[in-house]
Amino acid sequence: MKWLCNILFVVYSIYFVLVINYNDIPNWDVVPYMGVVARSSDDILKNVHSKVYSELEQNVSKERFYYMTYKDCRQCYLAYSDLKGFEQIVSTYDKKSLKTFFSIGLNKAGFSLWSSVMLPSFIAVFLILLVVFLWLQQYVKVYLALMVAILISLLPGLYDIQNSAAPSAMGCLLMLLALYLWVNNKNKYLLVLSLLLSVATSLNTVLLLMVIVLVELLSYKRMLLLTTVGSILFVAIIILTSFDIVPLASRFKTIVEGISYVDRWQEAIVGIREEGYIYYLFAGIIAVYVGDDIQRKYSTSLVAVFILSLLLYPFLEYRFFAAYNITFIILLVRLLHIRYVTNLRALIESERYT
Amino acid sequence: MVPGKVYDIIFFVFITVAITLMINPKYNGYDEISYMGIMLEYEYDDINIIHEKVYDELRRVASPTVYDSYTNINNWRSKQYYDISFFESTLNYHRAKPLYTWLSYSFYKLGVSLSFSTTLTNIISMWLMLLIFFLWVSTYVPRGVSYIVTLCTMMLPVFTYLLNMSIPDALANMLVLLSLYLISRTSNKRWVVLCLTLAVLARVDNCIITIVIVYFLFQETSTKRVFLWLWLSVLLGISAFIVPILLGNDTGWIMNFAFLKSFNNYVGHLNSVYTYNIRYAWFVFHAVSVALVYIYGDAVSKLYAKILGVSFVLHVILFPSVEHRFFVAYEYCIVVMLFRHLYIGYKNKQLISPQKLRSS
Repeated sequence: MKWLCNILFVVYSIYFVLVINYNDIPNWDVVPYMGVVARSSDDILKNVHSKVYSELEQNVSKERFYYMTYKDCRQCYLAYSDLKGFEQIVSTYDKKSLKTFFSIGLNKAGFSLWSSVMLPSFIAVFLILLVVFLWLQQYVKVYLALMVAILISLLPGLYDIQNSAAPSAMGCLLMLLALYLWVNNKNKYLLVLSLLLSVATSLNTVLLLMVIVLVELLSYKRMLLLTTVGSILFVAIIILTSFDIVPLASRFKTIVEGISYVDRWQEAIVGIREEGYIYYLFAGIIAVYVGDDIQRKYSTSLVAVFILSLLLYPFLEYRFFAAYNITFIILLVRLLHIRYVTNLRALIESERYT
Repeated sequence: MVPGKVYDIIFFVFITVAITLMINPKYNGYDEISYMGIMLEYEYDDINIIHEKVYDELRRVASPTVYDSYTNINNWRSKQYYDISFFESTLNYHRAKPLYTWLSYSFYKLGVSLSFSTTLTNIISMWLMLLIFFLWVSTYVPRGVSYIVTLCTMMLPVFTYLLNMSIPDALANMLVLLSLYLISRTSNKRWVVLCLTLAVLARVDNCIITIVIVYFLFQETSTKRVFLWLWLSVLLGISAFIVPILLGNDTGWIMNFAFLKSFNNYVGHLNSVYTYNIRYAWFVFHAVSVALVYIYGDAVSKLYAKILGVSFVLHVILFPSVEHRFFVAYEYCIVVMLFRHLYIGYKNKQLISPQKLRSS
């Protein structure tokens, strides 16, 4: 039964990534990300520009190509029609991220520009599904894990991250992996590695790292030291390799502006209600108040990271929260399963005494 | 008066004020044209007069932008404005929800404006839905928790939408939720059947949950009764089809559903359900919750999970369109079941704790 479910899920995951979750109209950010990869091997901007747009033309329909270059979209048109504009836009996307290095590596290995930027997102979503399935099997029977994992695959965040060339998919995978290792008390070194890699992929993950460090402060002093030193080193490497402090400063400026911008807060509150985040907060809060001590620890941490992320960067987009949304659901599954098992054991024991 | 009851009253006064503040109908949903038309049909025979009165009312209440979208020739919505025979034909589709138009018409006759009477039915229904939800959830969890859960439920995305739209979904959901609540509260199943009958009159597709509830409610008592009630359900379904005809529809009104036009249309609809319609946070959360409640819950949880699960699947097969507004009663019921399960589990743990047994 187990092997059949495993095979079924792998087949489903492949079908999901290639058919169900695939959008032949990708996010526009594929253009600048292709530009970033192309620029790593060619210094002549004109060549980079023509290479990017000829690949784009090959991979999207004529209609879509028109909409990715037309006048009404200011950014799209600027990148298409003006070399300087193209350079400016590409440089804003040229953040030193593990995903960018991975894409450059793929390109150097012979993959087309298009595949180099899109393939990591596809692979990441496939692996996310496998991690979810594996994680669920820690608590529930394989057929239930299969069912819940299929339901989780329908989360809108997975659609957003797969059809974008941004590092969100890879970041989500590494965050989820870190959370899986953390919640299940798996290998600590792997946990540290995945956390650091996720920070290297997407800097927003530093919040999760901070919260995990704080929570584990009392129990794992050695780990704390290692993680702190590691994270400082990593952030230092990121800053040093970018060779430019200004983007980081402007990034912090954007964050501060975001916090003080009232409309953005209103948007975030409306988003929490209307985009369905309330369900996950709901699940998290239930897990905080009803769960056992272990559950409470993880749920509190996740709710804290969720709120902190929102405070520092009030943009409610599914791609930023996909890993948390998935984890909230898995924690709900864990909660109900553990409650069931505990009650069952207590019943058996009470029968013994009576 | 018991102090708890006083708190409940204060809480519902607060809820009423909150709902009042949330009322802001925009009349931009398109369906209001037809519902207002049907309401006026009860009074006037001349379709030209009905048409004129509906658009006069819209001009009065809707913003210039919204009204422009109804009358601008470049907008697809304006077809009803320029083509009166098309306007008349679209009324057919909306006659399948007579309870909603009857109630709205009653408010209209009581002096409420034509447009607001289509919203007032929803406002009252949503208020009642919250009340039913609160009464239900508070039977399982402590009062304080029920206040918080009810407030959170009010925050759910679909609440404001249903409150302000001129569609029968709020009424239909309220009646379905009432039926589900009555299953757990009353031994007299006639009340459940009565509520479900009204729910079918509010939305014809509620005949699916009616049949499912009747099946699950009566299957264990007696085999003969199962067949009896199944026949009753079939009768209900047929009535749901016939009532609109009695109210003026032609016999082919049911073919107005786009998915019935061809097999390819049907498959296309079904495909879009899986790839697009259900890819929402609300769906994933509730689907996981209902599966867990079914697997780990007691007999009551299992019964509700079965009713909701089977009804949902049948609904998708027969009406391949999943919109949040169709399933709000299901959503509320799942939340109640989830809390019931969590709280009962918590209480059981306290009661059968081995330490307590040892000490006793």
